[in-house]
Amino acid sequence: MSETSRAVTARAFDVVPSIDILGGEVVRLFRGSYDHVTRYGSADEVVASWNAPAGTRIHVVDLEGARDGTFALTDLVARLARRYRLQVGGGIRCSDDVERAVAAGASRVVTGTMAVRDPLELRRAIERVGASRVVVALDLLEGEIRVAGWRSTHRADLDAVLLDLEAAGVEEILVTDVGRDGAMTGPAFDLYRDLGSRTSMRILASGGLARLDDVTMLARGGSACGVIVGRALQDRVFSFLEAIQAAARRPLPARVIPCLDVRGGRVVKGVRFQSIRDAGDVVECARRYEAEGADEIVLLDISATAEEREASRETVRRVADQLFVPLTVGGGVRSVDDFRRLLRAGADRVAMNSAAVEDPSLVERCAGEFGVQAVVVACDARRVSGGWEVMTRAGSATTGLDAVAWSRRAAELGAGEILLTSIDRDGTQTGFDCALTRAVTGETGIGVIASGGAGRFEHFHEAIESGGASAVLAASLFHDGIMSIGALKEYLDKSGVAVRSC
Amino acid sequence: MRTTLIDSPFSNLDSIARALRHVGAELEVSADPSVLAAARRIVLPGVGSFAAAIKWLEGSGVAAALRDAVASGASLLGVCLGHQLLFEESDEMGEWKGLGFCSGRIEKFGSGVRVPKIGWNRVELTDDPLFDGIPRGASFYFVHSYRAVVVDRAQQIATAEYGGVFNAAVRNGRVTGVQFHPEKSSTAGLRLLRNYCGGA
Repeated sequence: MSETSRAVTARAFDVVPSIDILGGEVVRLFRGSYDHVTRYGSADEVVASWNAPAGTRIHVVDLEGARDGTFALTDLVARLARRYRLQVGGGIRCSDDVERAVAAGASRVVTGTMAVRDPLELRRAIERVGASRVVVALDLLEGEIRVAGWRSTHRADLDAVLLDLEAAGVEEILVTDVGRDGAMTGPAFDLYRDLGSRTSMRILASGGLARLDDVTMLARGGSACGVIVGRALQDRVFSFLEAIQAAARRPLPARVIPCLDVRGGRVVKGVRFQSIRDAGDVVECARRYEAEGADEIVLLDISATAEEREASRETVRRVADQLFVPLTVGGGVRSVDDFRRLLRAGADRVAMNSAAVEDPSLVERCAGEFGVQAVVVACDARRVSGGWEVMTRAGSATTGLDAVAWSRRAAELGAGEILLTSIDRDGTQTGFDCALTRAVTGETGIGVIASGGAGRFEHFHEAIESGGASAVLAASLFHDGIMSIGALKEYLDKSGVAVRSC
Repeated sequence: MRTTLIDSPFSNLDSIARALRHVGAELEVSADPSVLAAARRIVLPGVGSFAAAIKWLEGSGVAAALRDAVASGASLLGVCLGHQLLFEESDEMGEWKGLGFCSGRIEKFGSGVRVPKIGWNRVELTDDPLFDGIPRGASFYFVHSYRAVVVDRAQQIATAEYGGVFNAAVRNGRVTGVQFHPEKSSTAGLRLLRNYCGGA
């Protein structure tokens, strides 16, 4: 009873450490082969090394059972169950096995093949031990269900299987993206979101976990009720405690940033504020955006001549005098001196683009001189086969550089944040390139300002929730009065994204 | 009463000066120890590394002048790094002694959170007069990788959460400090500066 009520009331995201057991030891099989085994020591030692509090849910996989078709961990389960809540899988082929594992002390039993191939036996197991004790494992590869150690595809419609499981009373499914398992390439965020919209069963995520940020993103995403953490713990990528903290981490409010293109001191594209007489005046526009709730303003200087550039710096000065939210200025920054001049004029942060690509040491020198918090690296990226390519010179020049790799390098050199623009989406109003955003947030560990493609409220939500963006940027959408910053922030707030209230 | 802004090379001086003028402060900008020792209301700005800033403060005689001023009843507001400099010590790139006006030390954020932390953070405010008229759930703009671990909880007048609760503002008598940037925190930040400047 207590188990059931806990499952219903506990809404916190569950971090579930996991061990694979072979011959009493914690191991990892290389690509599922029993001939290539990495050993991590005895189960008791490994579990103790996590310093997990009593009552922690632990996922135990019986590799011998999986191989030989019989559950063999009775003693170990009985021992660990005195302190932890165990979720046991491997070699669970029939309802007798389920009952034996529960008798040994397991709080939950995981079954995959049996549940998918033999729905009657699944129902029998649920009748015998209760629905809260049965977790069904679904291994998916490109949307298809895999059974029997991933070797064969179960030919059944995924939706039909989900419906069958729900009808049988299953409350929780353990979903592994087989293509990512052990690969540490990041979890299948899209898969969990998709499944979350198709089933009411709780989803325990598994596979691909590479960094703490992934735990935070899964916890924040709301589709998964928890995550299995195996290899990352064994290889000490992070500790169990760090994973718990990452899951509980409350994000900083996402920032909403209007971007003003400035040339020679004037806003280039008209800004349609009805109450402003001269819609081209940068200061008036910036002040108005602050009053509407903009969390930061980006000024992009697209001057073509030295005179225009000097005029733009004067504009930065006038804006800084009247603006009391952070001001980021970019465009035409080619040296440490250019950088300094903009900071002196009143910019809080300066964005570099082409010059940083041509001379990456510029990023390092500016970070050393002014601090990483002042350095924004703007990366314009275009989709190419297998990834994204960095473009420079306002999107006109190819570089052959991979956008994710370049962003990671920029972060290492001292960029405090990446202003990431999808060239393909820019101006289309079809939504941010969330895959690009996610790839960069996952790789760099620093904040990303998503830019290019915003058209609707939902787009901003996606960039933050799926893309992991710290901030979202748009220009004409705000300037043309299609969307107000106030209405956008209200929408984000209502849809569960933390934003600054004003 | 005049407000004296310390002309520190390790600060975003102009931004703070603009905000202080905006709220009506009669502003004096100086790094002259004799001027500072006689000042009654002082703002210590700061951006960058603790080590560089404290070396400058001690070496220039500004630190001694601040101690004199505070001892004779002047009020002091530290902002961002200026806030961190108020504490006893810091482990940013070595071990450094701070000004020691408030008890505690400066430590880096634990692993598992993004640093530098750049962004708005909701701040839990107490009833300190510095926060008069500011809504309780207001957000302020932060840029930092280190934060103060305050020894005397009574000195902690505001907290925020970032991978755990951390100190956002401190007060010991007439010495106050804020980890965030009021000069970049829109209406709430300007109100705080106005409060500090005596409702000027």
